Amino acid sequence: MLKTFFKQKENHSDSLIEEINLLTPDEKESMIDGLLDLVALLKSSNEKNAKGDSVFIERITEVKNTVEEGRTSLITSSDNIQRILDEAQNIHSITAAVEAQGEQNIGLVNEGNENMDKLDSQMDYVKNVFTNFEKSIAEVQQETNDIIAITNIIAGIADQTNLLALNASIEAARAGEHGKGFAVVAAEVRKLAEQSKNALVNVNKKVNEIVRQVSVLSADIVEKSKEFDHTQEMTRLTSEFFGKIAISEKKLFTSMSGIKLATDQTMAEIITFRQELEAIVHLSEQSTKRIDELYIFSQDKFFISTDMTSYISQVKYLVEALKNDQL
Amino acid sequence: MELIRSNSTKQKNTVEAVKEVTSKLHTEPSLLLFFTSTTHSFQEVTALFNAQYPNCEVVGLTTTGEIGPSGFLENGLVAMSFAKSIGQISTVLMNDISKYPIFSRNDLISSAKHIGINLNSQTLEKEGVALVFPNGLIAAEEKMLSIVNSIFPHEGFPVFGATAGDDAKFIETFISLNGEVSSKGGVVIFMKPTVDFVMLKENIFTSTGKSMKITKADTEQRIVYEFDGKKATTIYANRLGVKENELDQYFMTNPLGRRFNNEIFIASPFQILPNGAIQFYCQVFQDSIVEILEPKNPVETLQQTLHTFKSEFTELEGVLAFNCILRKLQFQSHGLFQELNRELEKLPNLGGFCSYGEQFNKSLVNQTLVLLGLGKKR
Repeated sequence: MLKTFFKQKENHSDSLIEEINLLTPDEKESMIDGLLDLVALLKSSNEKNAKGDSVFIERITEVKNTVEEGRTSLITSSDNIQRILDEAQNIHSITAAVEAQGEQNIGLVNEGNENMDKLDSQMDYVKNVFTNFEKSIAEVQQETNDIIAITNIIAGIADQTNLLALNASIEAARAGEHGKGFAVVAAEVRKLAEQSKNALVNVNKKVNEIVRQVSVLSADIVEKSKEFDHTQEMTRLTSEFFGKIAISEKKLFTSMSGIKLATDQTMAEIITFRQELEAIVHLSEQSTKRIDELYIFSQDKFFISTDMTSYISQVKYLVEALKNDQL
Repeated sequence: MELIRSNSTKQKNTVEAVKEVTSKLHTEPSLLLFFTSTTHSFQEVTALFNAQYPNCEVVGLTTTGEIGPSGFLENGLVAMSFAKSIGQISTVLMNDISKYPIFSRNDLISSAKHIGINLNSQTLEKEGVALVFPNGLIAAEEKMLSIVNSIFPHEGFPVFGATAGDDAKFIETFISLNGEVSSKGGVVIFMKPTVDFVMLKENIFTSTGKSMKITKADTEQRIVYEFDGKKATTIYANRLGVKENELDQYFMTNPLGRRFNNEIFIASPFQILPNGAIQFYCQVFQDSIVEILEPKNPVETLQQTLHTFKSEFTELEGVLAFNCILRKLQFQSHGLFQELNRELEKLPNLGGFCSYGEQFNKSLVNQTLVLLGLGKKR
């Protein structure tokens, strides 16, 4: 019967119907039982297949989620690395700027130091001027003292002259007519002596004024001299301080150069790492594409298995119809 | 001349209704589709249409609500005519899709070949499209689809359709082809159009992220007995965070979805059975992982869908739309018809109905809106 079934494909249905009609009830029952068993087996296999499909889809979904998570992490890492690179570039720029500034600062400090030295010298010079001035004042004071002494002498002379003139007037009066001319002269001499004395008073006043002013000036100069000493001390301290700054700047300069070198190295390593990361991201994108293809494949497979389910249930109905001899 | 025309009526008198609805259709189309509420006698409607269009393929079915040029309507009659220039049309009535759809396989092969569809093509998506209209309430859609798809050795022939309804009475549905009425069969229309076509499936649900594994199910009966090794209703209610005895109130808003990569196929729960099992509107598969879904904003989603759909075309001739009963009930309870119709009436020559299930290529899906547009693609 099988040979007939396979060889005569064109009219196999006719010969099959003929053969079915020739079957004994027992044979027919065996055939139907056989068919029902096969249907049960098909159903069971289909269910196993469908279960496999479900597990397959579950696993793909898990893999896809894992890949997606991984990809998200990688992209985040890549972004973070870019930020690190940007920061490193920033540090690089800052260190370069600090280095340049450091050089400038050292220059400024040296210039400052030179100016401090010049200032110190200037101050010494001024101090000398003050010292000389002080000496001159002392001399002036001495001179004014001499002037006062001289005016005193002149005052003494004026007094004596006045007395003499008075005596002369008295003697002139005694001389009567012969002494009138002399009395006039004596009176004039007395006037002169008075005038001299008045002039001397003015001179004295002026000299005293000069003495006072010179004293004030002298005190002032002493005061200023002290201040100058203080300022000079400050200048020396500042100079020392500048020296320390210069040393500090030089140390900073050395450190900055070190940082710049280290940063350059780190940046190079990070760039390499990022390139490797991007390659991995690209691979995971490809994985995602493969997974999408797997999904389409599993979807098609799922539809095939649902078709199988339909076919199997239809075969079952047909076999039952055969069994019952009616549709 | 328009390639596709559609019209609707709420006229209660059947004769007047048919007269009114056909007044705006082609007089000599190559295909006429009608979708009717059970308020009309299906036998009578079928007879009237066939009498009026003796020289064309006439296909009709009962619905659970209709979709006409102005959108959703109830207790109405909708008809669509396709001009001869739309392309080649051939039809098959599969008499019994519940047990013996296989008997119609040869008819399907000859019908498809008759209009020049190359069954062995490796690019089947360019060969044409099959419209399928199975009867409802007999759990036969997947079987019908398996036989329709079986005539093609390769994958990819576009299949588009919906299950007949009966205004939510759940007693019996009807389909007819050229005057022959059936409640156990299904109609297949093969079309080789002269214009482009686009199929779209809208999903107004998104995943809540809560999932469960179907650990015991009867695929053919569409029953899930257990999730995660425990009674179905217990686990479903638990995952959703509701009381078990209130679970059925959430079926409409929180159906289940099976995820394939980024696409979700919805499986809507139908009813709870005495032993805590749940019966669905479509096949459910043991060992598959399903996610509990929640609704997106329907109006916004529809706007987005229609925008995407229309942008596929430079010229859209007409649209077939099939909408699941559960979606319709959801829209009804939220009073959304007016807003949705405002969007739908922007589509030219729209026709369709609310159904007990939608067919989209190889699968039966639930709670979806499926659209078929014919015209010139961008």
